[in-house]
Amino acid sequence: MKLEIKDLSKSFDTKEAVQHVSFVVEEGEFLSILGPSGCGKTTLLRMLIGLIKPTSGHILKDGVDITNFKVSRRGMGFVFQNYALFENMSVLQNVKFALNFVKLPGAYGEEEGALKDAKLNEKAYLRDISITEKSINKVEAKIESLSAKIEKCADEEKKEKLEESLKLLKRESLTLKDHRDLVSEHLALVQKDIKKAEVKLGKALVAFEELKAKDPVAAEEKARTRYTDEEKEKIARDVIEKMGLTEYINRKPYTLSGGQQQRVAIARTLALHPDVILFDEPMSALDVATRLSLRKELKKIQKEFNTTMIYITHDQEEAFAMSDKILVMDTAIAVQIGTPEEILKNPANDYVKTFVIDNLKTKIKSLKKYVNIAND
Amino acid sequence: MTNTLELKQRKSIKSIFNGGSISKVAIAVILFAIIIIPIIRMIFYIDSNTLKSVFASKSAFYPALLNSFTTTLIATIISIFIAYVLAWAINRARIRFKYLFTVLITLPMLIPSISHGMGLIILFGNNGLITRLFHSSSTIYGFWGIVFGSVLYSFPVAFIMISDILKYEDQTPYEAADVLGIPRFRQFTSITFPYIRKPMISVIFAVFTMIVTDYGVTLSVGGKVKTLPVLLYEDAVGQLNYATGSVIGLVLLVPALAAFLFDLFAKDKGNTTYVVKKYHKKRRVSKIVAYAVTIFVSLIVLLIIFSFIVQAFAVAYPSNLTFTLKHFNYTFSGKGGKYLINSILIAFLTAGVGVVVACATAYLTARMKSGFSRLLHLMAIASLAIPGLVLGLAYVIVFKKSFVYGTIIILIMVNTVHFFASPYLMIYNAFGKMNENLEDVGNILGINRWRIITRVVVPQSKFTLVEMFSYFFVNSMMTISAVSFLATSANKPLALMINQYEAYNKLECAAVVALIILLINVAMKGIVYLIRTINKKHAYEKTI
Repeated sequence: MKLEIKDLSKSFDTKEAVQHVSFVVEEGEFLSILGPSGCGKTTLLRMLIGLIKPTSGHILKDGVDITNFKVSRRGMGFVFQNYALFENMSVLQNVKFALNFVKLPGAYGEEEGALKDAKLNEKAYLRDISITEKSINKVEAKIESLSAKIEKCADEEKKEKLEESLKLLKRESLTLKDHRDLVSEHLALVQKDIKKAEVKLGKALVAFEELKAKDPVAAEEKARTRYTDEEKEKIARDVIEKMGLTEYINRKPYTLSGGQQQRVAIARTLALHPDVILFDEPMSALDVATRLSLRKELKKIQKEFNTTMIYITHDQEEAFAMSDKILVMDTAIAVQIGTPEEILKNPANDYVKTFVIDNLKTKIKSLKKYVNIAND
Repeated sequence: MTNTLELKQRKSIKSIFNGGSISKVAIAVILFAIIIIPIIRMIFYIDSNTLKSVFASKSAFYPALLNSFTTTLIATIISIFIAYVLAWAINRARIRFKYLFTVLITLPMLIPSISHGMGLIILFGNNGLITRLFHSSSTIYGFWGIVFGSVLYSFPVAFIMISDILKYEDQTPYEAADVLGIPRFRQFTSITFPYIRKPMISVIFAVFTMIVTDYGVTLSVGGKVKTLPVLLYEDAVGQLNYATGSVIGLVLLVPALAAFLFDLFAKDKGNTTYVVKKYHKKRRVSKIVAYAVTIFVSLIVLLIIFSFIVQAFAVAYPSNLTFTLKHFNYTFSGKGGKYLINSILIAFLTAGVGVVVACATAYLTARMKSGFSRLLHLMAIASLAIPGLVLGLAYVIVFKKSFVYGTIIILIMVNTVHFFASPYLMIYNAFGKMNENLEDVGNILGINRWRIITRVVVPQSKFTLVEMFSYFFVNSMMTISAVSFLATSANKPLALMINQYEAYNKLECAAVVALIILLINVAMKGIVYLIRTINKKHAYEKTI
């Protein structure tokens, strides 16, 4: 799944947590977002999954605008730093629990869902446009009254000041109009999505009716929207096995080590087959040995399922060891995106040089003298 | 983006309520209606004539105020001293049978305050067991009776609070101090004292409020000495003079409110410490002292319960000590049976309603945080600032003419409000400690909030729920404060029969009632204990 992030921003009251961040993650790619604590990494990740609504900007998944989709309709998984397991349930129950509520596409559920999602987008954009229009009207009114004042004003000095404010207002009006036009463009795209989805839904309906007439049994099977108990059990056991947890299957999370708990959290995410998995510093509470083995496993999963992974970390070494691409963040802004090699060769600015490269070099240097001894 | 300005304005209004706004407003309105409005109505009940007559120079108010203040002050000091020594003995000296001692020490918490006074009379009264044993002529009635009764009634509560303070004190600072060669006395002034200062002030306030607002002990053992709560009780319950009662109620609100505000501000500054290593002392002398104190106090508690047993089962104490059940028969031949059923029904329903409302409120304040949650949280703990007597008086003023008056509904309501804050705080803490991402996980995995609540959040706090249920139940069984204003012959709970028997000097029947309440509450505590142990064992077996 290709993920495109366009001009994403988020502000909390007066604080700008993320400012105009744009980047692309190709299908099956492993992207690390590297930055110090408090730079807005987690806010960015939470916007991608939909736990936080962006103030502006868009998220596209394989070309479909998912900015306003419900969290569970984005086909994404999320792994938390503190595992967030259900402590009262066993490992198996933890993984199985969400499967109870999974809605399979059924007869034409996928097409129906796509139409609903697109309509959600349309609604959000229409609202944004209407709010912006109102702001534009207000600013225009202010411009009008101010222009009138300036015409009447005799005092040169005062006039100059007023003209300065007028300039600011005009600029504001322009930015607002730009924003409106941009959202309108997205609205047009979304409205196209809606039309497409309607056609698709119509086709799916016809196809299902035909199937019903031809083969009622197959139609009934296709119309099923829930997993059977056997299916749930199998899916859960498979991912648990994949994460190497079979022997702990009936244990409660609090009896497991941190690394094992994080594996359960990953298994729980994998059970729903997300095509993008987001990781919020998942290893920061783990010891070095566990980290190393979990790193390998994540890369294995990424290859096996061709899953797109976005991974937040403040650890330069971790980012360089695991990533196909790294996005370097400074406070609220994205500074550079590129492969580890590109970043090493051409750091975008001094910040990247010091925060990423120098820190990495120091780490390597401090251990260099032991490399030979260790090799012996 | 300039249009974000407008979005922001909308957001900031929205963010005050954030999630669950309708439920939050609904619960806030209910809490306001059943906690704050009655108190305001009570205050508006006061007129200037009543004020004049209460504060007139020769009114009974001033001596009662003085008695209240002095007895409470002395009782608080003694109570805290005993409680501190006990808490130290149980938590710091490595003695055995800690659990048994804790149970014995806290037994007095399971019976109404009035029975403590009664216990003193049975032991030290004119015909008391001890009085007769030592052929003493001194009498317990009056000032010192009130003091000792109040100590008996309050020290277990102080013990539990101080135990909590000592239990969570970290030993690592002391180890560091030892390593740095800091002398013991300096360790006390620079480590122990700053740590216990604020929580101890909270305890002092809590115990003072508890004693100063209680009428039970004084009513039974005070004799001619009267305190403010007794004046309130006599005015409002005896003579239906609610206006005078309201003035005294307002005065009694002051210490409770002060305690509440102190707690609020002391907690805000963050007094929680992270315990790396629990504190233990190993000296032998301390062990001997600890055993002596705990055994002594346990014996006194047992002696009082023993005195109830003697009174309840002897034909005519002290002249005829033959075993009999006639006092039980007498108590239950009248309306005792009905009142017992009332009590159990009220206790169960209060516990049920209380647990549900406390959980719902705590979920909204602890797990759906917004600006409004803070206000809701304050309202939820506001009942801490209202003594039971004052609450009862406020309720009788507001609900006297409504259809709920005279039914058990009003008693369930008043009990739920009266005992709401502690169980609410228990579940608030439990919810707050749970992983903050559970609802987000549900959202991501497509599990709706209700299912996360019922299948994850609630099951994870089941022990707390059991504790909360038992808290509401036990307190509803033994309370005589708020309910005394609202009970009629139709909805009277059993505990209030003690007041009645006291008044007619039928101590045998009062002892019967106290024993029954004690038995029921011990049974409830036993069930809680069993649930905990069985579950712990079960959990342990599952892990191996």
